[in-house]
Amino acid sequence: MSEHTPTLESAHKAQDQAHSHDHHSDTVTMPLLGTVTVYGGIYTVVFGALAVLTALEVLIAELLKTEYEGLTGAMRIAALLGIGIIKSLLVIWFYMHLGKDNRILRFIIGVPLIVVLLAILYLMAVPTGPGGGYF
Amino acid sequence: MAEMSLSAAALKQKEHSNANQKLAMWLYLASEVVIFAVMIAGYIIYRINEPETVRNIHKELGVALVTANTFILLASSWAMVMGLRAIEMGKRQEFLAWIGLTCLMGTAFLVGQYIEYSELAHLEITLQDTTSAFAGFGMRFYAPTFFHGAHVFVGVLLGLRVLWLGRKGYYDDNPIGVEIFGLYWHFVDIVWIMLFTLIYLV
Repeated sequence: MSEHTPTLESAHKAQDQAHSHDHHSDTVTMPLLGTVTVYGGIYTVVFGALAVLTALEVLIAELLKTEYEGLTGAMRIAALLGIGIIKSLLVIWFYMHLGKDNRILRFIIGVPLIVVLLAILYLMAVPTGPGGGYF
Repeated sequence: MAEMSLSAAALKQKEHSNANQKLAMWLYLASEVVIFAVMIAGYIIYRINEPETVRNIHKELGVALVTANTFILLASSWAMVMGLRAIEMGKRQEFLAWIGLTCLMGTAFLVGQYIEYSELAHLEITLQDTTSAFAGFGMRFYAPTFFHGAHVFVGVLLGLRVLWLGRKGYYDDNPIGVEIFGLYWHFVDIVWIMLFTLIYLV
């Protein structure tokens, strides 16, 4: 075997390095914030974002804790749900690598999410009252 | 030359096997989405119809404990992905430390949940309560949160298995098993992110 013939082990290593090189870097380039170097790279940055968003969620919930109905109540719910969805997307995209993996996986998880969302909206739309509603 | 072909074939087989395992886990997670959605839907309808009751329960419970628990679970997800990163970089000892930390934080989360359930028991919130001021809340609260807690428990057991195999070098050449476990753990984290928002804050 010549010196340059790839062995199975080196081929595996090369493949793994090519696949996840950017996940291993401690330097992250972000919109607005520019380039940041932090231990853990993008994973630590995402954790920081999750922590800040959670603190923001709790702050909103506590500041408006008497607002459960009406327009302010609806805005409070929209803000909290929006932050919750952003947090979930951050985990799916970066920690579960859905942004990098095969696109078919996005359909596998995306379609059931859409279907159950439609089902929940239907259940919410069923009028309550005599003989009606799902409560 | 023959060795090169063998290497290429083995590499291709590894790629297929890894892709299949990942596909299987995502399909499993898709089925979990449906199960949790049913429970979440039950809670959403209750929240719409009983805003006053939910407001009173939130007032009684507070958010300090559950917020701390949420931070613990988010940190465990970070530890999990850092463990995967470490084994991909060939740092086995670091990988073991991160996965160990993940299991530890998962256990801490379950302890927090136990404390919370004890507080709820003092408020006499039970599964079949239909007469108290919080009637109907118990089943809609305990079902999704306990089911999620059971997932965390299973996750800790899986994490210990990953630790056990990792110690023996099982993932040194192919860390797909760690990645699959990570998919499960992060999914459990996402479910909690939504339960925390919907049940405790909204």
